[in-house]
Amino acid sequence: MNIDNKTTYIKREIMSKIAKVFLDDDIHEINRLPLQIIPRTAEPNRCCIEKDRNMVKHRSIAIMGFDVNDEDVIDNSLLSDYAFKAKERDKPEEPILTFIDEACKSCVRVNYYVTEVCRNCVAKSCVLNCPKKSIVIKNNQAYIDQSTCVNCGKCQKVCPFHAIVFVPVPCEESCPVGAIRKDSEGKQFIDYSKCIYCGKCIKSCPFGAIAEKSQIVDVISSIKRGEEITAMIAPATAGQFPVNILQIVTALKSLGFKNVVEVALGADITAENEAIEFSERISSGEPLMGTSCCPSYVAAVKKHAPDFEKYISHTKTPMYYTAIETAREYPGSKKVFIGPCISKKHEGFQSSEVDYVLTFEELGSLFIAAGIDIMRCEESKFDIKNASPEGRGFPVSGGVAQAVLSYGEKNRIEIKPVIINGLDKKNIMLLKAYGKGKCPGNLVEVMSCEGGCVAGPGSIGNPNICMSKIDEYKKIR
Amino acid sequence: MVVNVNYEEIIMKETVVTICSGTLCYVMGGAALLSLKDHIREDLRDSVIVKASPCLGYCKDPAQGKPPFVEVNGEKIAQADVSAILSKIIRG
Repeated sequence: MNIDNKTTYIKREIMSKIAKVFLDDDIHEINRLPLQIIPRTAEPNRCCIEKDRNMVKHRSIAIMGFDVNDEDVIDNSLLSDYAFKAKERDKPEEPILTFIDEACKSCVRVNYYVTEVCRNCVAKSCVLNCPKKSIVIKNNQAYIDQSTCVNCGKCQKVCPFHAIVFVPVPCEESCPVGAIRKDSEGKQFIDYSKCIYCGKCIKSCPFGAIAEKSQIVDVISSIKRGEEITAMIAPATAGQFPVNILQIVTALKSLGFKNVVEVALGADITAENEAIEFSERISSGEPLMGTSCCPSYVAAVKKHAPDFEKYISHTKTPMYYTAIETAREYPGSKKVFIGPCISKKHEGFQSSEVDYVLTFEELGSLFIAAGIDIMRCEESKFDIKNASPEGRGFPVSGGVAQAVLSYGEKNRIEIKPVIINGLDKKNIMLLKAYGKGKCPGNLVEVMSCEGGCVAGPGSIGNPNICMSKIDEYKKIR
Repeated sequence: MVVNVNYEEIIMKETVVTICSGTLCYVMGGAALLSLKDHIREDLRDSVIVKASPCLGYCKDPAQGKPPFVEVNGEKIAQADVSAILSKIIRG
């Protein structure tokens, strides 16, 4: 579920202006970006407009696909320096995420805080019950010493006035695998050995401190060089814009994509192969099989629930199969996957079949930069061929299991699907338990994003309207 | 901005709310505004008609304000959010 916040809109505004600079090939214009986004009359988002403008600069660097961690280099470079470097490269370097230190306020050091409700009672239960003797009385109020507190929460439980509150660090709360935490100096950092690239931290940070390194600039450069470029659009595309998906096909072609192909085609192949594989595995005595199309969940299993890894299907993802079909039909064409997914960007780096990965948010920014009004676009047919409703149903929670069920109907084996709708700390525990064989069903569909791919971190649509648009998409012949 | 409303004092005339769904407005917040009716009390929903429209053109002139743009019975709201729209519907 996406909760739009102001950082999202600031990001989109910056992205569309950067896209315009590259489309118009007016690179030096980019140095004026911070002033354009934050004019003198603007109400500051942070302490002052200078800080806001500096943030725009840092965010622009991330959007152009660079790490934002060497403040010495950043302060001594112009945005146009980065832009020229971006034009020359093939694509950004991994990792796909970057931490904008300047934006991060590191929120709180410890999660417990004594509010003014504290009555400085005689009981002093908080002081007496703290295992680390971290609570002292200062100025008639209890006060938690942040350097010794271990976050056990006892004080909160024992205060008779409920004066002690739990203050979350939003990114740490949202991360299902504990990959984002504080270093010894109290600054946040991402531990890439644990990170599953699910993107939840990006959406949860109220300061927009975590950014994706975008390939939007690379896609524009490719189009401007006149290369043949194919857009492979995820089925979740149908729910993103207030128009029929066939109008998006036209919009993409106006942007300069020569061919537009449904990733649902690949999803059909995935579902068919998974049905066969499921049948073989269960017949040979395995207790269950997990689906394989959500790269975040696969990473979560490999890094955090390794017992389950043997159960994951060996079938490749819809993006992979679609890329193979596209290469066969349009040899030599560059291939761009466009979807709701951040972790697909990581999968794209690992896969030689896919050249670039964009999110719908980046696509929306491209449309804005190119002045394309999607509602005024006519409908165009998909290239190669149309997919089936089963493949198109993948991006909704339960959709993959449904497709495998449909393709597996002719097999004799009863499919008992178990759906994990959204990865959080609790569901990771579930996966660990399933890995040890304690599973109530035999086909486990896991979606990192609650609601399915349509609610992914790169999506821009209204989740309430998504379902009806996906239904409309399934009916296209 | 929180809108405190005493519904009993208001006679809801039929109102047409046009949410600009040109690409810019849609991406910059218009998408969320399409669920406007969820924020209106159930028995008053029928008197409000919510429409998505192609680009209304306000974005071309910086003096008009920032997106997303919404028209309530033809009157423009810039940088629209649910609060601002409801306020305009109720106050006329």
